Amino acid sequence: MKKIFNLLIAVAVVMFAACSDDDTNVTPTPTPEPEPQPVAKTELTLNINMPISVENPQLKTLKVILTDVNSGSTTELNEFSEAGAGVYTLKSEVKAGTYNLAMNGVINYTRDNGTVESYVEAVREGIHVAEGKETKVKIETTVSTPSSKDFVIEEIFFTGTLTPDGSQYYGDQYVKLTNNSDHTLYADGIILMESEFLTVSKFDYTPDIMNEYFTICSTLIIPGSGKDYPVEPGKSIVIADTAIDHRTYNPKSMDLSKADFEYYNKLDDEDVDNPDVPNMISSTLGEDMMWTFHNRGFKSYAIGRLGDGVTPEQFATDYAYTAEYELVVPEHGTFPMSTDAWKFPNKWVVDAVNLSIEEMFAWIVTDPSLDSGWSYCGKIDGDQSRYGKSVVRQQVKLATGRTVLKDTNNSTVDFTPESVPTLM
Amino acid sequence: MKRIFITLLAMTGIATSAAAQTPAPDSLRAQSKTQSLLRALDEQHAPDRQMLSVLHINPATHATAYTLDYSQAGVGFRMQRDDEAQRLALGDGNTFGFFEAESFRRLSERSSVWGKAGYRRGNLRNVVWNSSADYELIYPYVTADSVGGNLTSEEYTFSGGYGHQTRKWRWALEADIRASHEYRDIDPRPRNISTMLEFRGGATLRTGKYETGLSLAAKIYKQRGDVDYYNPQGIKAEYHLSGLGAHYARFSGSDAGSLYRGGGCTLAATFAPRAGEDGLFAVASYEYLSIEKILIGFNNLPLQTVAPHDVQATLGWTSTRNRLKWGVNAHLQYTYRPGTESIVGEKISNIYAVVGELKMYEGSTLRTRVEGFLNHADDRLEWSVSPWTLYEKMTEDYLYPVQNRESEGFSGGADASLTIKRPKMHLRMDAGLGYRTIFSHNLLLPVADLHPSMLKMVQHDYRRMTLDALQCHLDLRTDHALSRKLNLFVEAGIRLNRFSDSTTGWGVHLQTGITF
Amino acid sequence: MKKYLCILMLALLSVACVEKDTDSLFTQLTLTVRPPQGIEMRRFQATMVFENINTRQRTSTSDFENGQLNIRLMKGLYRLSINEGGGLAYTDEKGDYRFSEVVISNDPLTFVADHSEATVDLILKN
Repeated sequence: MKKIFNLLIAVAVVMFAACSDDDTNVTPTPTPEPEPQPVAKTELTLNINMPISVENPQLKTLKVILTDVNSGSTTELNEFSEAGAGVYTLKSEVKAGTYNLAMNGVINYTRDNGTVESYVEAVREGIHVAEGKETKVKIETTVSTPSSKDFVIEEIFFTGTLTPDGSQYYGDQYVKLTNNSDHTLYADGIILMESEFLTVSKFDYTPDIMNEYFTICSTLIIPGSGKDYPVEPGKSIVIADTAIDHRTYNPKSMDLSKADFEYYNKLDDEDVDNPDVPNMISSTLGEDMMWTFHNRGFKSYAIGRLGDGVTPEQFATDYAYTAEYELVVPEHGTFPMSTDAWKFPNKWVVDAVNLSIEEMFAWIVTDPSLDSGWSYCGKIDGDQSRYGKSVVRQQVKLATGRTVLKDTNNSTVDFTPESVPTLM
Repeated sequence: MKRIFITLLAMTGIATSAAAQTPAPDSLRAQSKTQSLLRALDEQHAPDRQMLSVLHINPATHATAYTLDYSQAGVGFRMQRDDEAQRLALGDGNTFGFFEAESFRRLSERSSVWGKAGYRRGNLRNVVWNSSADYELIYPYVTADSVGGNLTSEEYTFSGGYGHQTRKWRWALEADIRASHEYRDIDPRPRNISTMLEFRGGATLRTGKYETGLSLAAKIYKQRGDVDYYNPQGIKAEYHLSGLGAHYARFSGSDAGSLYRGGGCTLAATFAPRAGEDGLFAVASYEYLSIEKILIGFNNLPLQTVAPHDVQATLGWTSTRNRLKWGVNAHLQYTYRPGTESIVGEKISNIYAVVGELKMYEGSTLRTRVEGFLNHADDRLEWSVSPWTLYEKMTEDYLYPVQNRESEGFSGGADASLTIKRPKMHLRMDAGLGYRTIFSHNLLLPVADLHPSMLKMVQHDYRRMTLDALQCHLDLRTDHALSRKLNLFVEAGIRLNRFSDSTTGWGVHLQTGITF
Repeated sequence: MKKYLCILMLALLSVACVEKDTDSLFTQLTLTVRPPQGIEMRRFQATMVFENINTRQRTSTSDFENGQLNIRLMKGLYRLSINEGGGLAYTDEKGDYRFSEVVISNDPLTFVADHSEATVDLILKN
């Protein structure tokens, strides 16, 4: 028996030795690296067309980044040549594969007998370059002309903040409106509206009025007789949920006591009224219509002015809208549903911003002519990273040289999502 | 689930005692008096029986697998640790306590019953990119997150079969039940309950020395799972993986529950000498399984389906000359694993319509294993050597954007065993040494388009699967006769892996129990 | 015995020889942009983005010829959009030559046939 145990121990020792750090025992002989083979290159030609929206465009500088999808490696290209009126060519030798392309450049064009500088950008994904076959890619460049005639929504801080112990904190949400024009505007009577429909769940609402109206559930109106609240060009006004220094209650929040307006809910015992800050008119659509920002970003917001001669009271009665739709509950059937809301004519809308989240986005709840995109804070429902972030409109330099907030009616490109709130 | 398990266990006990109470024929009774449990143990471990166990895919061949009654019940512990997870989704180790019982009884010269019952509970360490249970079964359609953590896991298994012999025919029925429960008590908190039921029926026809058999099996599978977060601030995203670095992006985010359900069938043909005879044996089988993943939180949306086809063939020979036994066999397995994703239409009126489907994933595995054994046994000593070699080629493709992972390698090694037999004690030692070398491999990923953390996961798994490895194991088992009808056994083993990047993995197990 | 082996080998070969049919994953899409009534399109210049809603993969192109585009896309549900600045050169009802930036509807389109056709209405920006 003893012999057997000795034998066992010997076997174990040999096996452990074979597993020791002596790599020569276990590491296979490294396979010699194959001799590098010359990689066949294929010609890639980019034909870049200048924007047709401007006069006499000239490409001044160009930067093209080609990303090889399979390796992640990038190549920067800058050399280009003119290939006719408003057309430029960039040629490069690349190996066969799939590429993503990001391009930006500077162009000059003529405007009012002067020369204006502008930027062009283009993005293309999945360009297939086959081996030995010249690949031609046409790129149309465009120049956007942002609107700069009226107020815009510069920022919506709808997520709220977290307290140091990680609890949700409400009341510090706000909206910032900015005069994007080149002359003084009056904020009196500007209506802040919240959509009735959610961007995360789509129903076939009938009648379908979206191409003419924005369907809303709640409004706040800036008080004033018409010229009480002037706003100079480039200046902003802040509409706070509660205009107090929230840092008193939550060190991770902000001071909103200097807000221009606040929402005060008389029906809410816990709401605080700052006597130094004018209250928004909140009773347009009924006393029980409370204003609450959707803190997960499922709703859209807009500002507008009532049409000539239409009072808030008339609006509340004449612009009521009942949307009928069907709710399908699997295995239980289809249920006719309806929702009561108000319809705000698109032509009265000054600016609109759709909000949503990537995980659940279903549709935009405005006509595309008001906003064809959406912005966000958080990408999934209940995203714990969304707190303390807001959507902030980007700045852009106009052809006239004036810097304004970017308003192309596409919130996807006009806004920077998940920004640090400007008042924090 | 525990209640079901206890009921089943009780039924096993009843069945066994019923079997024991069945008056055996006089000849059998006389034989049972003289037969030793240790001889039954030898039969269980005999290399020719082990090699022929591939025939048990047909329960009718299982019915005559052994000539001696044998039952074993034991409790044990096993543990595995790896310096680095071979596959992140499977974790880098586990610890389990378990109970196992199995029995094979001949009720008469014409009929036999057999059964197994087991329970294990423990934890899986550092499981990342996998919030589902039964990973290998449902792969690639796994719910996953990048956070992961340890999982508590428990599993109940129960199987039983009955076979009956007529003059030329033998038929048998068999049923398997497996139920598992895996969960985590900190965020993210997956909780998965799965069950697999399998029913098999088979028959063999004796023609001369050989028996030809056919069997058919049906499987039913179900897994219900979800991932919760208790953190009031919100959640981290769960992903519905689609193979390699792809995932079904639209439904990533909060997980409101998934249901995997499916089933399949197995058809097998066997050809083998009658029990106890030498000669040629062959098995061919085809298995089809289809498992659909349904998102409960999206109105029971069928999202993905994996439907593997598995073809296996074994050809071998066993022979006995006096006290010397030898055998060889070649085993071929080809598994083709296509995966289909639904094209989900726009969600309107709370309904997601499936408007089409695309086969986006294909995986295949080809395995060829050739092995043999040489065994010599007398009343005091038994030894065996079993050399083996394995060729394995694995290919995975995600069809668009194109992703590919391949590896091709050889393994080879030998196992040896030595059993020292004493009238009231057997001591068995098993040792083995093997080496795996991967001589060809490839990974193609759209690096620039993949989620960075998923890219890392795929690259990690690829790096691990393409490492060469040295594998060895040593197992000891001793059986002591406590009485004529009761033995005590103790079993222990260690397994070591050392990879060509100098990382190691090891596993130990320890089990004790009784045989009767 | 030989028969079994032959059947088995044939089965294996038939499974092993399955080619990757990636063509069936794609649709050849012909997309036409339609200007608002009453105006005559002279040239459409835009980069159109096709976002596969299920996979979130984005494909963009500006290969329009006379307001029509041919593109190979993976079958699926797509949301189309026009990158900023994209627009339409046109002559209005009075015969004046103009340019206007355009947007399109955000409603998704389904392309699951081997060949698909779609028409998208252009909405002139104010």
